Amino acid sequence: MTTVEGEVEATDPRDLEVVTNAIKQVGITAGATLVGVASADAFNEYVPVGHRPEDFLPGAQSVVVSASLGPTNAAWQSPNRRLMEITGYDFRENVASIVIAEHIERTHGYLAMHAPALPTSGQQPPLSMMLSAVLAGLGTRSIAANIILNPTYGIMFFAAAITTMRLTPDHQLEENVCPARSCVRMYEMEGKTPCMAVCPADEGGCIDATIEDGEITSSFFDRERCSTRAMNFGIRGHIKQVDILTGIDDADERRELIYSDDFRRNMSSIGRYKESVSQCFECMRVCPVGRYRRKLK
Amino acid sequence: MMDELDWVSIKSGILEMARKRGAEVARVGDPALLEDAEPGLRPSDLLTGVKSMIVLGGAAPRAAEWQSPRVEVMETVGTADRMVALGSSVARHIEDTYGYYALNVPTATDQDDKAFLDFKAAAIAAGAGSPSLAGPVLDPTYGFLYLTVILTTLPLPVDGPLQEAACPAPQCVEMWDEKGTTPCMAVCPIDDGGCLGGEIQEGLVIKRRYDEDRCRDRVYHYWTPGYQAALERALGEPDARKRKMILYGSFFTRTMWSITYSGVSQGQCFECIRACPVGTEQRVLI
Amino acid sequence: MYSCMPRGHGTAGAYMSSPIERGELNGFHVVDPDLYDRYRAEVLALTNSYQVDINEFLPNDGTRKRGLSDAEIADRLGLDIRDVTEIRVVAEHDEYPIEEYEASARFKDAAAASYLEGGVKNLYKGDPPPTKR
Repeated sequence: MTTVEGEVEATDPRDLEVVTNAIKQVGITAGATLVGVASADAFNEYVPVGHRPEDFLPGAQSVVVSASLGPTNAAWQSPNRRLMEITGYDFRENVASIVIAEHIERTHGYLAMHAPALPTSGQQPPLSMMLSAVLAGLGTRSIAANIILNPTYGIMFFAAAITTMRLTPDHQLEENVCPARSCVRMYEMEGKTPCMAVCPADEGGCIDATIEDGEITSSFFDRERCSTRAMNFGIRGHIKQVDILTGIDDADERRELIYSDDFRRNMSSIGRYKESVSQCFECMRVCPVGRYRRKLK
Repeated sequence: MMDELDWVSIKSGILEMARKRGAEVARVGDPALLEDAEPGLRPSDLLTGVKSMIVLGGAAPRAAEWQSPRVEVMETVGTADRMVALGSSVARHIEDTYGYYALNVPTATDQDDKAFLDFKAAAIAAGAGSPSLAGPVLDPTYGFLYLTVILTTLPLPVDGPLQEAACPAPQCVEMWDEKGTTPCMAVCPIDDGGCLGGEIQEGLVIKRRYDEDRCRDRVYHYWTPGYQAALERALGEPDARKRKMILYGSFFTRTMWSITYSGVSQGQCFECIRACPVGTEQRVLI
Repeated sequence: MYSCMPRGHGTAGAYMSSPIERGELNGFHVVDPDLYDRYRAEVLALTNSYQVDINEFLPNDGTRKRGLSDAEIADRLGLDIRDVTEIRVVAEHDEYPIEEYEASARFKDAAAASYLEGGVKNLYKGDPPPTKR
């Protein structure tokens, strides 16, 4: 890394949008499908102290959010749902985010970091990528597991770069993407939207909500049950199996567990990190937002 | 025919390619300088007929990450893996372009947790940095960098070790003269629960004390050593409820996340280098 | 049952929190099992485990809610912040037994098969949802 020589001049506001767009293009070139910008202080209304951009980078001004698509359209069509679960997430948006951070530091001389999103305390990520996406205008929160839906693409995956550079922020979308019109109709007729119908919280699932006049008036999401699905094989399953193993005295019983396919699959997910998350797409499979883009030849 | 090749230009081309692809430092060292290493861990044990060691340094944390008051940042956003990709790419380029053997030395450890090759010694031999009291090799301009080493039978002209060591920095000598310590020793003193100690005389480090085991438990805080320690504690706990508190608890869970996402979790303690003045000019941004 | 924090609750201003204040201190700390049993449900109800009314479009008049940080929970319940973190993390794992992982795999089989067979319409035929198949 080289320092920027001389004084870094304050950017003319008229040029700020040009500079912001150029930074977004860096992310697109690096593999992101979309890039948006949120003001760092916009987070303060929604999250407690300790989980705000300025907690990670004092003086933070902007959060540049990169979004990428998940499984390819063919994976959605596969009769083998496990295929999509293993190949669902390629982390391109993280690459874009790192490239953006380095570009800002090298070219503009402002501090910029790839925002930490890996959970460091149980299920708690340091900074919410979902909220980052909402505040950067890349989507809105849906009934389906609170997944952020982009109006064009539907489900996307997000990463962020925090910077002390003031950029032209995008704003939250003015209209909620969810519920879609077809979902409102279904709700009026059946009392459930497709995502609620496939995974109802009151029948062993994760999702519930109420809709009035086409708007979400309440929502419920059971994250812990959802994580037994989205992280069906991996860290959590392994921890449970180790706990069980420590309590088994019978060697044959221990052996049976250690050599089970479940144990092997847990280890496989741990060994290949891309397999370890995004292992359930069932609420998204039935979601109409972005679905029509998935129909190819 | 081979004697007619312009080794200087070839070397220049390879190093320039590495710099364009992200290496901040690119140097060539003489592998013979490492032949007194333990058998099995010498360049010639890895590549018969080795003539050159190409040492690349780069992928340091971003300036903003050094400034962050939250240690989770540096613990989880590492990009050290880029050097592995770069090293593989350079090795492939040498073989494809010049027809000489080249291999990227693995950064993971071999049996008994020993490195395949002493990367620090390779970097020092090539002048890709100099030793430091804190431990990592430091480049005078960039300070701490992640390293990768390519061994090759290509006979490149070697750069030598640096003439002047980056450590101790003038500021550290001044601090030693005034207070009997340096920034790295002050932040992690071996006689007070830390890993580092030493002495400076006439501007040179004449003695170094280093608690390798404690340092490893910090650098790999939530990785295999942490997993092993928590598992050992759980297995030794006769109370099933307490075992659950250990295994379901935040520490064991965190080791699992770090192991799974090991590419970004390679270094989990940077405090001695955070305090180090070498290379800090690179981190002075707005 | 699921009492997340209502909007408008006084939160700290935008100051630089210290490691002690922000909670979620890392390191090795084992919570007492009795303390865990006593506070498990209460702590989990205050976190992001059960997310109630967090949509950003909900009005900011107490309707929109959010989960509390470990520091906030510790303050509210009068507990040590390290214990809150451990209670939360253990409870996250503990909320569903390993049998739920099996049930989740079967749910996904049923849901994917249902969609492949008849699309979204299959969900409204009156059959049990995929969660119950």
